Amino acid sequence: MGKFLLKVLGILVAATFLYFPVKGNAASKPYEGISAEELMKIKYDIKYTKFAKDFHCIGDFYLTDKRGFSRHRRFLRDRIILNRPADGLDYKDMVVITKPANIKGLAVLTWSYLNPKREREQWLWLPSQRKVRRTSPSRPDDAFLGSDFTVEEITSRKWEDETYKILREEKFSGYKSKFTGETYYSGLDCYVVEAKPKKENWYYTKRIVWLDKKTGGSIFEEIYDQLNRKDRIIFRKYDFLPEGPAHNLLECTNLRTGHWTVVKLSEVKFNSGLKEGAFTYKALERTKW
Amino acid sequence: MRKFYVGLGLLVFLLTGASLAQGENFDNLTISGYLRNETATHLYDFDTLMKIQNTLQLGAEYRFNDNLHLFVLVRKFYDFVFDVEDKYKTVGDQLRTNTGNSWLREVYLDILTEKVDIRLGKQQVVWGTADGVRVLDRVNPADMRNAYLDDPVDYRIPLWMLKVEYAPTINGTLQFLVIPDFEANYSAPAGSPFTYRVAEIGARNAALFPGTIDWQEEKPKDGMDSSQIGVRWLDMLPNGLEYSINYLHGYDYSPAVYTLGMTPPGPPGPGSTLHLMRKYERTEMYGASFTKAINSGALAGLSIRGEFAYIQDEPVPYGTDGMTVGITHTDRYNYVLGFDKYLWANTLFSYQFIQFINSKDREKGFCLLNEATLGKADKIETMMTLKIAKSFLHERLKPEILIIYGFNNDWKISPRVVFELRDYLFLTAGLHLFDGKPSHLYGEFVDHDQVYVKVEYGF
Repeated sequence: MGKFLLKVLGILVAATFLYFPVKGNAASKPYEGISAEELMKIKYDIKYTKFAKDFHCIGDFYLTDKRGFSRHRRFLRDRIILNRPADGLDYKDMVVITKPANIKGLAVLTWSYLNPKREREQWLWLPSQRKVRRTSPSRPDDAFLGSDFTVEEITSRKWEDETYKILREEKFSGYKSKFTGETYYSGLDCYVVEAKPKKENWYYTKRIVWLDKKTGGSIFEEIYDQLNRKDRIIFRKYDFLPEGPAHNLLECTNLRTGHWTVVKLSEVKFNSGLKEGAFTYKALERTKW
Repeated sequence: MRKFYVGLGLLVFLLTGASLAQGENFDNLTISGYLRNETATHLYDFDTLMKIQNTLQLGAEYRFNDNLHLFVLVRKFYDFVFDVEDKYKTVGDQLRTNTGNSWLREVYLDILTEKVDIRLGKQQVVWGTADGVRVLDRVNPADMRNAYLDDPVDYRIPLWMLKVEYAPTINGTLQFLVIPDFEANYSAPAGSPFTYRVAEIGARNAALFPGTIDWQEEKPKDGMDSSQIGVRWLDMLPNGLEYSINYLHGYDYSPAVYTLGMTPPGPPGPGSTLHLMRKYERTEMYGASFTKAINSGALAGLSIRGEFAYIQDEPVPYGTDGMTVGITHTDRYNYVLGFDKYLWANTLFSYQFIQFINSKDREKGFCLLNEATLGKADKIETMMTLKIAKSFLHERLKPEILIIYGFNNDWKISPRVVFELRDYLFLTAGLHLFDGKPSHLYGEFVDHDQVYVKVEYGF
């Protein structure tokens, strides 16, 4: 069991808005009397599960300021799950920007490792130079692609990075999406967990996370800044596919600036037979734009 | 032979059109492009414009299936500065718009399989990872009319070629290039906004010569024997060190200018003819590159990259400052080491250390000369570059600065700001500042400090 969890936790660098099915075995469901640590392990299992062999989706990214001015990016995302102890590789991920035209073709190839201490490898395809550039991944507290999410919220936060405490159990009051205008998960039975970073002087002091009691999936969280003020909120909506729950809508709002980010995923395909050769330097050089 | 390439391109166009017409399948067709205006003027003389260029670029990709793709990229520009500025009117015909079929930037067919990729057609191939200098990036010639101030994707001149890539392992790739096409580097003629000193000196000397000058040109002949051949092996070691080994049986895209003699012999006079020849000579380049990202410890987040090129028998002029006596051949050892790291608040720092080393610096008592400036070339020329980039307003506002410094006190400083007005509309404003001696690469443009504004509408 310990090894299994270690392997699962090894892929915690997966993107928040990734869209994976859930194994759905008994061990990955919350149970009466569950500890905060076990509960958060399940949350991460759901968030980053690697039970699919590969994954493909189209993502739409909307960045909107408090006056309502909005910008849109579209990307294609392919991922292959390797979970290969021989070379330590967990998964490989390719994101290609397809809109807007001015940055069309910008592509990012990321390799993630099972060892949570080993940093990701990353390459960029630079359309203005028609070449590949090896890059160092951004700092975990930086904004992710200019959004309201931080890099670690999208790609690198690990279960080991925080301490956890269950605060209470309650019915979720509901979240009205700014993007769709609909209210979601009103009255859903939830665990409310406090997560505190182990790093000192980190950009947040705590997160309060609402987790679905049935699945353990995180649906809502509040992030508190260094002065312990509520700084941002994040909402996650799931589709319940045959394979299990999977994100299809994420919203993050910065309460100080009023700026908010939406990530909407569509055309998801699992296990479509992607080959590892599509996640290499050579594959990046295939990019035409 | 050139007609063959053009014919091949047209054939590919026709095949695409036919396929589209038959299949009526537009789902597999992607079209994208931009309309751009770039206006530039002298920083200290706003009345003298340097550029009023409008550019339309249109790209189309058609995917017949997952393994067969066709890509076409055309770009047409027109620079009104050559119509409105009297100063440049003598060179307007050469510079105001595309010449020949250079509007056809890229057209190629991709055949993609798990192990082998084939790209056939007019294309760019880029080796190496250096910014702002070309060490391994020598497969394609360059359009230097703007002295490398354009983006690399725009200043490289695409060539018709065959590129085959074979991947015997997941990360290991053998690339093989056959390039029967040849284009020379394009340099702006004297009287242009950015004319290299060598062209200004040549024009001045030609004007002083009392007789006529007979220019001859020796370009590579058509045929496979004259083709360029390139090979690259690229792989990654288990520790994450990525490396390449490169070889290019190529040409020096800049001509060596030989003096063949004068007729009739004797002192020059009104009836004299000076016979000169531009010759594009074979060169052999052996190179290598590496990149490594440091993932732990105090240097975590640092990327280190380097590339090295040994160029055999490159023709180089020798003489005195501003005057060529002859052409000699030298071996060159060029390398660049680069260090990239995001420091505080998502700010990228990218530093490069570059050296160009000649195997000799004298010939028959004269010094070797820089091909672009005809200034004295040092045996070792050292440069450094620093790029700092950051974004604000959720990546809507992106300022950056690129500083290139030559150890002979030669400078280019290029700050710029890109602002995203809308998803489809980008505004760029920037400067190019030059300093140094006229005989040095950037100092020769010391009176050409430029301020520019660029508006790009993407679709």
